[in-house]
Amino acid sequence: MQDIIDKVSELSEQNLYSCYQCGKCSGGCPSVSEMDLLPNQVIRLLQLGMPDDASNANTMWICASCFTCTVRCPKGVDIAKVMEALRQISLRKNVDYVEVREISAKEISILPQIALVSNFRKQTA
Amino acid sequence: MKYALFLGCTAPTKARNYELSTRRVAEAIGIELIDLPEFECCGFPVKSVHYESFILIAARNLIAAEDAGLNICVLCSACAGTLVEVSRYLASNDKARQKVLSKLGKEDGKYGFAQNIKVKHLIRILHEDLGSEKISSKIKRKLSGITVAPHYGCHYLKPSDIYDNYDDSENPHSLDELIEITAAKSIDYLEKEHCCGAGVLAINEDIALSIAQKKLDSVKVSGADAIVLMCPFCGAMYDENQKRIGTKFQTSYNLPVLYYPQLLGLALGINRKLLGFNLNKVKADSLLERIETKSMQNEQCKFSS
Ligand code: SF4
Ligand code: SF4
Repeated sequence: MQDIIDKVSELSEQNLYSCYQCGKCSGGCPSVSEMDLLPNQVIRLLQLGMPDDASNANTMWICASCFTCTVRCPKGVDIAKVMEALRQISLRKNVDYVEVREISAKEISILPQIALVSNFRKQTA
Repeated sequence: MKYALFLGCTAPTKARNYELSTRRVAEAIGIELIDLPEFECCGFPVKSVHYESFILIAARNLIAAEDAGLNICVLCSACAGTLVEVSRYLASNDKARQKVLSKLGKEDGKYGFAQNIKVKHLIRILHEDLGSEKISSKIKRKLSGITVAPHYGCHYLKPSDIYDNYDDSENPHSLDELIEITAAKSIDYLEKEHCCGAGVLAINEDIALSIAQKKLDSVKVSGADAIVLMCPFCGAMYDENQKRIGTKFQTSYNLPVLYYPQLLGLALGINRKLLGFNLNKVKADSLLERIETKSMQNEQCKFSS
């Protein structure tokens, strides 16, 4: 477990233990109403050595990368980077991914570009 | 004033009205925009997938601008965030820079990234480099009587440390100020700093659309004639998806969504056809007619007095 947590710290370059659970990140998060776990709860689970519980929640995928939490955290924790690190670790496992070559030309023509871009960011393993 | 124009992937495919109006406006106010053939994807889409490739792709673009000796003007806020972040990272991290340069077959020592070139969003260039006085002197048609809701989106100012704390990410004002140059009124509304939801679109469409819906509701309540924004991702959410959001939530908004250069272009007296208004999904016709009738009346007043 510890190695996953070290990996999150390494990839995000954040000290997870500096979070003191004030909840400000979750208070301003635009996606929070749809998340299984609040952003601060994800950090807490990592602090407690429970990375699986943190990664099984939909939180990292629902995170819009808006950086509101990052600019507001009184302890300077870049929570958006922590979410990014969790996504990176999960994508390496190839659990769920989109085969880009299999998207038909028709689908590409009607899909909004942003859907493709966020697909690349979040579902391409 | 000369910049390399970085279009990214979304503006030239889904927001050509943004690109068109930017080119016209730049011409009118004296900004020379150069297209570099080497420019490609900014790298943002692969950030979660492969961090090194993300850095490498962004670096390639930055190197092209450095070779041309030009600062970069970016239209998309996500591209701006990416290129600014990477240019700073490579300027301060010797090891990463050497690695990237050797992979790209370039010699170290020649490229300084953020030390040599500046990457800025178009709106920041207008606000900071050109400034309101210069733009005001070019205004031909006052848009008084029009009220608009500015939407800043996320990546234009956040994370604030990569942007040297330019403007104020919690209480931004640069776009409001640029809007007021045209004499249109820029209003405050609930959730002004809220995200458009685009980043969630591929994961869960319902959530993405409901995030966008919240803001559309607030803008509607505020009574604004239009939303004014500066990112093609946000444009896709509020303009392209507006009708779907209306149907989904059993309401209708009919709220024109203008890219800032479209608004400025009108005030500079540029013909609406040249500003790409035919490409706006939510038609702005009645708003444009109001503006045109008003400026005709003003002309007549001038003429008769
Ligand atoms: S805002 Fe910062 S300190 Fe507060 S709970 Fe979130 S991560 Fe922890
Ligand atoms: S970056 Fe993600 S977690 Fe942070 S406020 Fe935005 S959506 Fe929420």
